Amino acid sequence: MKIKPSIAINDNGFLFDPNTGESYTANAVAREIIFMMKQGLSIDEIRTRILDKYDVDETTLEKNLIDFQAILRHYNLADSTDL
Amino acid sequence: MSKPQLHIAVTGLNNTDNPGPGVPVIRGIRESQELDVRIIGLAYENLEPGIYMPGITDKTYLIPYPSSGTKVFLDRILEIHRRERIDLVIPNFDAELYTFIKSESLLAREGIRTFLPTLAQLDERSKSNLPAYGEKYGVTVPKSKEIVSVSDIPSLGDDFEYPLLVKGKFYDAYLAYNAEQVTSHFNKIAAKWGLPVIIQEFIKGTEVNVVALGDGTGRTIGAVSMRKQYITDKGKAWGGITIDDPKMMEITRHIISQTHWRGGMELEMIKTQSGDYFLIEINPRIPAWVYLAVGAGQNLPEALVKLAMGMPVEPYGTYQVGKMFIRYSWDMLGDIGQFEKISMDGEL
Repeated sequence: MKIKPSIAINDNGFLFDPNTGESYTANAVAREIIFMMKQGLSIDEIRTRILDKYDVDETTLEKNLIDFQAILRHYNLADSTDL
Repeated sequence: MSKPQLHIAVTGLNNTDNPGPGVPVIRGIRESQELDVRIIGLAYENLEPGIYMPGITDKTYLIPYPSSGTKVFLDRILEIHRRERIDLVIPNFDAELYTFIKSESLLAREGIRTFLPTLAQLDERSKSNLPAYGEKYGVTVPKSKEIVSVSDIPSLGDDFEYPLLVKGKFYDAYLAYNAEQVTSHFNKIAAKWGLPVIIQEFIKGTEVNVVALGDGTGRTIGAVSMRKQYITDKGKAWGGITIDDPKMMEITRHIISQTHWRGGMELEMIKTQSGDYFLIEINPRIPAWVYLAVGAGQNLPEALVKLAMGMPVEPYGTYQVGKMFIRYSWDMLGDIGQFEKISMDGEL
């Protein structure tokens, strides 16, 4: 999954979609994941990095990652073709 | 060498919660680095805020509504012209456009310029002609129908699904979920704006708008798209943000190039979840949110003045995306003497 190139995100986790004018706020972990997506990391690589960095079990992370991807798709922030 | 001062008359000073475009048009013109202007406000009501706002008009005159008759209306404009030497008049209300366009050559003979669409252009984009317009120019529009009587309402269910929109020919639009609500809205709109009343298919999606300026030869001088972020109960934008929507720009340029639109315009569109665009309305004038375009880098009021005065104008290419406007209310203080002067003398 790739974040659309037009989506802007700053260090505070504020996202702006210039095509629709919609803006969103991401929490610290979501911001980190989006930055990794923008760098072109795969979901597997993101999963590994988050597991290394945070005290989270694999099942919880997997569930949250799936939810988060669904949210990104729902708001049209990610290219769903690259799933 | 000093620039010659242009005397520009502007209507639409009603900067209320249903604002006219006069004040933002004037702000844009006043920000021009190339124009030296004297602004003559033309107001219909003695409590239009633009009359009293500092730095907006240099002088304001009350004028009669166009509905009081073309002669009465023009006599007053020409009377003001004799005192002020109006070089250009910028009408900002849909309801006055017909009178100004019809009087274009008379005004021109008196030395008053305008920069308006033709009557044919004005008529063909009217709400009641929108289906034919969509077909002629290859633009997707919602299904709509004119009605002139409450007896037309019961059969609407044959052609439309509820909810549907009930619209006045100039202003106002209400969503109706059943025939009873259509009747109520029909009566309200017919009393205010006259007949016909337009019934329009309700398209679910995000409302996106474009302000644009055509030079009359098919060239788009500027265009800025905006999404309303905060909408009042009258459906007006109280806040908005410029967006980068190439498809909307394409539709806008297509319409202007096909119609050779002359003057300012606002395209109101609905973008559906699936990415389709429906043109729901074309307003034949600059909209009240035009100052957002000025702030985003396209001073369309200035460009309109220059076009009207025969000055060279290069089309704008880009604008700043993510520029926002937020309206606010502000208690401005005045003096009874000001109110007395505009009410008694018809000028301030």
